[in-house]
Amino acid sequence: MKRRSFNLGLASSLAAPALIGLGSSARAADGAKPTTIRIGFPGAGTSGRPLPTSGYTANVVFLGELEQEFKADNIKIEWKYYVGAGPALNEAFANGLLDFCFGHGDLPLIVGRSTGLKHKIIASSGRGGDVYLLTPAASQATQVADLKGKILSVQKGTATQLVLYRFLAKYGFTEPDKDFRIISQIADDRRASLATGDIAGTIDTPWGLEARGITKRLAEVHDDININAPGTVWVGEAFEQQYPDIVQRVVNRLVKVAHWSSQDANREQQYQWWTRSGTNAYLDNKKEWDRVKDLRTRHSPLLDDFYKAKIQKSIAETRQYRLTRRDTPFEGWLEPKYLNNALRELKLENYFPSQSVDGKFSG
Amino acid sequence: MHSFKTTALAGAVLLALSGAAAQAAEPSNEVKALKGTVDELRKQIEDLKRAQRSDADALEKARLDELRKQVEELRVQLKKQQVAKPAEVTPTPAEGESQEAIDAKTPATKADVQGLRTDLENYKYDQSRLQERNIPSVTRNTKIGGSITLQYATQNPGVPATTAAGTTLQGEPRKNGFVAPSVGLNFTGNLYRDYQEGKNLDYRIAFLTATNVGSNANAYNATGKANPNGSQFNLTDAYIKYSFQPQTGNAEDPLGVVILGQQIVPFGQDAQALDAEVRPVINGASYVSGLGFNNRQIGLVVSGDFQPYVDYTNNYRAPLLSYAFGLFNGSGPNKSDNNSDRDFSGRLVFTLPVDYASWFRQLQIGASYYRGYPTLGGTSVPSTGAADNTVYPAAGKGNSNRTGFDINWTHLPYSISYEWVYGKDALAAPTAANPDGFRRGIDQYINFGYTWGEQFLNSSKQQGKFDDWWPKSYQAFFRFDTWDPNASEAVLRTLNSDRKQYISTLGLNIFFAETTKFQIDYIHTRYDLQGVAPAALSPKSTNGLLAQFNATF
Repeated sequence: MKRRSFNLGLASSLAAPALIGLGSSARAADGAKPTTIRIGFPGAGTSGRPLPTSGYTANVVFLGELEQEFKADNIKIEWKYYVGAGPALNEAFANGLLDFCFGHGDLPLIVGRSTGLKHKIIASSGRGGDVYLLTPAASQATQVADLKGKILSVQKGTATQLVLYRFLAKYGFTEPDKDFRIISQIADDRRASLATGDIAGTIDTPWGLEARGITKRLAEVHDDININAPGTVWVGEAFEQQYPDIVQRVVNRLVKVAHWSSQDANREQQYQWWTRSGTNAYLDNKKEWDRVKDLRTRHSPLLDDFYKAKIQKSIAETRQYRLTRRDTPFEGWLEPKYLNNALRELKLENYFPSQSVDGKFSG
Repeated sequence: MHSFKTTALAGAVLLALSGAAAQAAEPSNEVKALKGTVDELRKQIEDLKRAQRSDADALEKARLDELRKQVEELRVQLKKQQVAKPAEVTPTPAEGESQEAIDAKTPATKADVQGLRTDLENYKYDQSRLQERNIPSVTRNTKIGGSITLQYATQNPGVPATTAAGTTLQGEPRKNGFVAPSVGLNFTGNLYRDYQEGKNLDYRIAFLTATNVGSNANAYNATGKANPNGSQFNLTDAYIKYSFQPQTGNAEDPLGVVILGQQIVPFGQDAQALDAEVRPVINGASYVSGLGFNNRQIGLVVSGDFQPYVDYTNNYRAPLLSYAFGLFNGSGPNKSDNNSDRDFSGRLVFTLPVDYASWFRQLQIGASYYRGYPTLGGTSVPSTGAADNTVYPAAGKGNSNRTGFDINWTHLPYSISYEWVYGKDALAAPTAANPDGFRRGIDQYINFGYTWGEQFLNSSKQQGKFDDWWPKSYQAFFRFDTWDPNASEAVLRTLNSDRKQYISTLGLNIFFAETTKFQIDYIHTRYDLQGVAPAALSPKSTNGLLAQFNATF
């Protein structure tokens, strides 16, 4: 082989992979439908088990709804579970690796949009819940004030950070970063630190940990609308514009599963599924969710007045706590048409009770 | 209730009889007879009442006795249950109740607990025996790591035949062949763990076969000098490290460590870069070996950062200023100092404090400086003169300076890095080639990279997966490197290794497992012949292909 042709061949062989676009995220699309739909969850099971933790969006996975929906079209559903929670999900979306998110917490959702991530909110992934401030089992603390100046752990950048801040504000600590030393840990590390006593407190589900003698409850609030904010289902703007029919079909299935999940007859099945991730024990799921008399109030996909007001309040709090340096435009963020179509098609327009700005249910 | 019924019955009989007596008042005999009957009845009623009262008392007493008996029996049963083994309770599942729900309310028996305890004891015994016989142990926490690098190289025109000392005997030009494997082995561990603040004391020991230069150095001719079929096993890193800044895992904490021992000199970008995203090329920048930064030095380094900016919503940390300052012997690895002066090295890196979503993410500007005091004369060889084996007369101490500037923008999928380095070494005496008594080397390179895949994303690397999943990635790059090893030379250079070189590298890296990658580089090297006609030993240019598997564990 002559040198010139050798060089040419070599250069071509090196450049070829680049030209044909090698890569795991290569997604040949014919314009009408994608080859894969990539859906992210902000979390994974214990030790990174690729399973969702709870909520009706988790049930979509267990029921295999989307796989059934798109089987005939030969569209693959790619589930992604991020140990790094909401922040990791932002990083993945910023690098073009996601189409949907099934349950983003308010803080990473808001900061993501403030930094330029382009997505459309198409449903709520659920709302409400109880919050427990836990301390190590051997802690001498008897009230929240006893933890002042000590280490509290939360995964910063996640919705739980805002929950912790609101929780502390309820007990009179409006400047949490000054009153406490707040460090960032993922869920598994937080629980390990709780067990070893390396932290003074954290927000978590108590029953499984209490049963193991790891923790005790210092304070708790139940279904306080001033502490919790709804979760969000979003779709990437580019995907939404390119495949509106696909988005509609996804939302139809979501609403169908939200309806299924809100049936009392299906409580037990859900508790069992959510236990599989290992994040919460069966006991945790049962104790927490048995308190909910009407599951429709939790498994609600609605983008009602309450949802809008809570997200706007979270935007203000994000600025107040200096968790973002930019404004987060709310206008044009929500795209409720897919949800409305789905509710109409499934004849569920009046099924889920809507919530007013002050948290009262109606309907 | 019973006595109320009796009283009511007696009353009714009396009323009935008194009515009948009133109607038959006239005949006295009948009245007397009736009166007698009434008295009799009254008496009977009284008797009846008395009898009934005594029955009730007896009944109540019997009931009381019965209750006492039952209480006593229950007490006996309770005592028996307290001392006897509890009966196994198997709850009856309700219709549709799941196994998990049944399990949740089924109590463990003493036999269950004893069984578990037995299993635990067996496990403890098994572990104890395994530790004694099969499991290696260390006094302190230690992590064993290493690397294997396997290469195949081609070059056209080939490497000329040579019989020169210090090289592999070669009877004809060599155009291709496998390269001697390079193997690294390292141990890192913890000597003291500060649970409160994370001010830990750690250590690292590392070895590398074939050559004690950087992991990417070409070991083409370096193997088997002493033993034709052997290999060298060189100590590279040997240090202890103390974290003087708290390390609690909080990304907002500044980092700060003191490192004492044999280690990499903190100078420049390419010489230290371990991240393939920043340095994708197999062979490092020319200055790394040309100016001696492939050698470890023995000394003390303080490094850390200030004001880290953390974008928690994307897991991104950008320290505003990173620093590293060190004092070294300057005489190289595995050697004691040869004078009383310490070499000094310093490096500062500024990173733009921007959010992850910013286009300026991970834009870093760095500057480095090194000042050394080498011993000149004897058999020492100036570090810029790799091929200059001139034996100088003893001349004492000289000095050498290195200055570097670098800029790096690593914004997945793009990466661009540029670096400029200047080195100046005093010679033992002025030479014809360097009449001012100094040798100067200048290097600069620019690297453009593009990556497909998720290899460099923390979020992807930490995705929850059941199997040994890793985000496969492909990285293509182009690097252009110019290296003048003796910029001040006033006369014609005779060896290509002394001549100015222009090295173009086009490469592809394939990351197909967590710690293993395949790399292939096409390398075109052009020499500045200063107008001299090319010859077999000094061609105008060479083309080469270098392919390698690099696996770390």
